Amino acid sequence: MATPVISPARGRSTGRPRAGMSAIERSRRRLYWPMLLPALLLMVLFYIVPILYAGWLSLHTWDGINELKWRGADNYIQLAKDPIFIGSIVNTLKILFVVGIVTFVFAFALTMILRDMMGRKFVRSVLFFPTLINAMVFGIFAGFLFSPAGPINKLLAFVGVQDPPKWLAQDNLFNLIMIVMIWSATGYFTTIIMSAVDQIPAYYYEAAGLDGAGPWAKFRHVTLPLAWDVISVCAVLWTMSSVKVFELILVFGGSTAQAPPASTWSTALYVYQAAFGGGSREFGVSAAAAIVSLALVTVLTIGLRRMLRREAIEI
Amino acid sequence: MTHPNAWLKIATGAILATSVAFAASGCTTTSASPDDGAKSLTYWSMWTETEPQAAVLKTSLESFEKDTGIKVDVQWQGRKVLEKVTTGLLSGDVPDLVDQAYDKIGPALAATNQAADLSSVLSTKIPGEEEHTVADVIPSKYFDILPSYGGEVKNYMVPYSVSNVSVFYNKANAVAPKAPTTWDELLANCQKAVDAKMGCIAADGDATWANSYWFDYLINRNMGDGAFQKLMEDKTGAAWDDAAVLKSAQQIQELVTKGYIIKGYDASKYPEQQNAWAANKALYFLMGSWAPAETAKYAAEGFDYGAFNFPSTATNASTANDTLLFGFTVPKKAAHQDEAKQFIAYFSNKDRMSGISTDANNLAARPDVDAPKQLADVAAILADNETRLPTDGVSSDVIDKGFNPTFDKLFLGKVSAEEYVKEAKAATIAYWNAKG
Repeated sequence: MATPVISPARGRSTGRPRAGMSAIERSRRRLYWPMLLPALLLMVLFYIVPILYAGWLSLHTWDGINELKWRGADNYIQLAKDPIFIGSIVNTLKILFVVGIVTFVFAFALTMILRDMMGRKFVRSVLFFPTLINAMVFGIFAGFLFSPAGPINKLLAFVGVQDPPKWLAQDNLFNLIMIVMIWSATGYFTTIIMSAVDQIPAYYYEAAGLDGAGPWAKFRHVTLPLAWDVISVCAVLWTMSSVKVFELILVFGGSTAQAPPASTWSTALYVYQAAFGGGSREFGVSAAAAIVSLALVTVLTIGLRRMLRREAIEI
Repeated sequence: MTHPNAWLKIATGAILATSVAFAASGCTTTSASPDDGAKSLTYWSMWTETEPQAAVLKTSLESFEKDTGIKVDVQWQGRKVLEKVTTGLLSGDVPDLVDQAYDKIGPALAATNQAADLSSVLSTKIPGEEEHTVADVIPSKYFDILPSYGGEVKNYMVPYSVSNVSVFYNKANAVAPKAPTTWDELLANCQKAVDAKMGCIAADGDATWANSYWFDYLINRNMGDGAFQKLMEDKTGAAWDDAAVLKSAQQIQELVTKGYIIKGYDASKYPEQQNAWAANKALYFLMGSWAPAETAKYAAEGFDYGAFNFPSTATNASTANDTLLFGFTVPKKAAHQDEAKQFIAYFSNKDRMSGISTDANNLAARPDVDAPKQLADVAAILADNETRLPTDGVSSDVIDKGFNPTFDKLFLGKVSAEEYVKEAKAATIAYWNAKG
């Protein structure tokens, strides 16, 4: 996603240095490739080549050691027929949309509340805190907190709830995973959106207030358009990170190094299980699943970028 | 600074530095063949250095070095050791000796024909016990049950430690001190436990791997050895139509509907109920022989660890005991196979292997090594019965994808036995259909 800070020559992509160009401009031009090359080299080596290799691998059967055997599109056909893989795509989409939408609604609401609040810097730090905690901690802590004889149920019993919900039942497992994700992502995105909102001059709000705008109108007509660029970047960031969700599910669902229930698998987990999880070591299927998720995230990101495209508004 | 050559130099420098970094990171290999002519052995262990098993092995590795002059380079890799070995196989960085459980070694090295044949080790005389060969002291049944995983080598592993799955109970309990031998006796004891306002069977809803032992054992008792494998590997799903399958499912359903499984099991995370069992909140716990060691901290006062073999459901039923083997393997590409094999025989010595029992509190693969006190019962079960592998040793892929999702529904009481059999059959067919 990173774009080079130094453009080749402001609007001119090709052409030799012109006689009228300043010394600084010329040196900038000379700098372009040397500065870009190391990053480009790393990018090609660590992203592009592995992706191409995964694409190649996805057309083969491979146990990770012996020779590759050509399998054509059969790995993809196998995935299309596999109810567990379909389920893992549904789960990934649930994370993307359900968790994403709830997280952003919370982030906006918090932004609105925090904008005029006293001690908001402190509150912001508190909100950001869950992002810093390793998913492992949630997994272990939730097991303790929500266990049948755990503190939450004891508290509920104290206030008279005799038949508490089965928090850790398998049906609720994925919901619990989603709630933890919302909890940890909200602070992160609130922090980013807040920093954009902080840049909006107060007089826009004052002017809107004078025109009789309430909190919702202020949000809709001032905050949203002026923070739009940042919000759309956040949406893309979320899309990419949601497709990669892995360790939280592994820790939540898997006890003693066993695979978590298949009903909670995301595509990332499916990729891992196909290669290393079971006894089958199907690196070809794993690569095919990875390529499918890559296609998924690419399509969604492009779609989202198009959907969120707006004229940039200068503050 | 704006001189073109200066930038060219910087750019060249950057590229060089990057490529040097790659060369350094990508191509490091630990040399497995020292040039000084001295013999050596590289061992990658499944244990981490602080575990008691590591201490036991370390003692023997040190004395092996002293006795034979073979220099041992040991790396305590931990449980993911085989993932490192398989990566190493691609880059040529292969250890000479590796250990893990059979169901990890099998798929990684036996299925891929990357394990050396260890048959010659079996006929090797044990150093310090020259009257015995390895085959004399380690029961042949351990080698017989090893699945080949489709590979060419049968003896790809020599076990040094054994775990088995039995029903654990507190011998000092007042509700049902006598261990049941039949399924009906077990149910009767369960009723006693429920009447005494305690759970009968401890289980954690999320530990499907452990809960499925119940069904796996029932299928074995009702249908005989190898029946579970047939159930999983019959691509048409027809094996599920057998009336004994439905009976097994009904037996599970009875445990659920009669409330014999501890309250809250369907909403708990392993090892919550395991610890509850140790605190005398349930009578029975079907688990691997690591259970006493894992629950020792939580055990009620006076808790006396006992175990019985999974009860039989009919007079001529199989009494086979689920056994899990941990042992050594030698990669086929290893440079010092002879030295590795030499150490396997060396460690098979009774005195050396007994550390597995005395220090690590596990069962040693040699039956003549006394079991730790808490495992006296399970050692007897292991010695007195046929040995089988849990789930008949089928691949964990079919278990994770084809079996577990539907079994959970049965064990958690969401479907009836009839519905379960129908769904499980469909899931098996779907699994194999996807496999193509």
